[in-house]
Amino acid sequence: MMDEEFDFAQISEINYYYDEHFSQLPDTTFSIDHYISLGYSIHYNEETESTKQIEINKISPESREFLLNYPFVTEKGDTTTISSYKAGYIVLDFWYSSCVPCLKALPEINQLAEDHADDGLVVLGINCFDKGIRTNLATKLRAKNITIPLLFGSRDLLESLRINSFPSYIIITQDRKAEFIQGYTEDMKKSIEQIFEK
Amino acid sequence: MNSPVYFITSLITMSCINSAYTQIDSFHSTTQVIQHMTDAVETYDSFQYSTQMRFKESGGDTFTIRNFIINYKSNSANGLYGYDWKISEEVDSGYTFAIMALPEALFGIFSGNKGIGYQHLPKTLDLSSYTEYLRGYLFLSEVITTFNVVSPGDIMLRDSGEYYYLTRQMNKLATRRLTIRKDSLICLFSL
Repeated sequence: MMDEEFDFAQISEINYYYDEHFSQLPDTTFSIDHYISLGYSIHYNEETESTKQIEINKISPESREFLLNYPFVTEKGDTTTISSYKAGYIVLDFWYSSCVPCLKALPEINQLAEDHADDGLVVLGINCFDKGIRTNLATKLRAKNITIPLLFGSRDLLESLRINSFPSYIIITQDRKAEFIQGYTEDMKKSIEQIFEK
Repeated sequence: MNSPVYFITSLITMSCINSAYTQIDSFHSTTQVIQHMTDAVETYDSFQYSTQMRFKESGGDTFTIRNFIINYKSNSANGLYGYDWKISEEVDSGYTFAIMALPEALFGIFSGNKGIGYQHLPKTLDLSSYTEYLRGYLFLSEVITTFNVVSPGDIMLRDSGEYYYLTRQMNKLATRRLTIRKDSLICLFSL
C-alpha cells in the first residue's frame, strides 16, 4: 500500500504552509467509522515478507562474535568492546537521536538497569548514527537522569546484525549467547523479568 | 540501510496561524531559535497543515511537485509514535491516498476504489520504509529534531531581517536548511 517508486534522493525543497485552521482538526480526521459511513470498505493486509524476515531474524555466530568484539566509542571518546563487560547479563538498546519511541523508552530502560544492577545486569545504549554528536547527546541525556553507558558505533554493525528498525534490543546471556528482540520495550522487559524470576 | 544522499531545503512559513502572536526581537542565538521552534510545536495537541515537495532529477531543470495534507494529534496510547497522524496526498485523477497511523493499526486509505487496507501498527520504526521517510520530512517535530540533537556550534544561523536561516551540514555532500519566519514561529513563547 506504499509508494515504492518514491525517490527521496530527488527532493530539492519542501514548503510548509499553515492557515488559520492550523490547530483545528475535525472530529472525523482520525475516524475509520467516518470513512465507512462514506461507503469505504476495509480489509486486512498480510504482513509483508520483509517484515516477517525481520521478526524471525536470528543472530548468527559470526555476527555475535563481530558484535562482542566491535570497537565502540564511548561518550568520552575511549574505545571499548562488549566482551570487556563482565556482567552476567547485558542488554543492548539500539537507538538513535531522532527516534521518538527510542527516546520514550530510555527512562524505562534506565530504570530496568537500576532495578537489576544487583542482579548483575548491565544495560548499554547503542547508537550507530550519532557518533559525531555523541558529546552533546550524552549531555542532554545525563540532564534527564539517563545514566546507562552510551556506546557509539557505525552502520556496519547494524548491517551485520540486520537491524534496520528501532528500538531494537539484544539480550546477551551469561554464556554469551545473544537473543534478538525487536520492538516494544515491554517485550524486552518481560524477558529480563523472566530471567531474574528463575 | 543505504540511505540516499539528500539535499533538502525546508521552508517554514507560519504567517497566518494566529494574529495574536507577539513578534520577537532579532539577534537571538541559535539555541534560542531552536528552543522556540521546539516549544512552538509542542504547544499544540493537534494540528493540520499542507506541504509541498519539489523534486528535481539529477541534471534536470524541471520540478515535479507533490502536495500533502498533514494531520497530527497527540495520543499517548499510540505506542510507536506518541501521536496519531495522517498524511494525505492527491494522486492521479484527483483521487486521494492517505496513510494513517492509529494505536490499533496502520491504514492505507484510497478514495479511488473507496478501499481501506490496514495492518498491525509496527513495533519499531523501519528506517528504510516509505512511511518513515515521508514522516521524517513532513512532520514538524521530526524536522526540528535534525537541528535539536546537535550542538549549536554545528549549526549556522543567519538573520535576514524577516527570516532566520538555520543550516546544518549533514555530511560532506548534504546540507539541511530551515527558513523560519520570525513574526510567527517564535512568538508562541516569550523569552
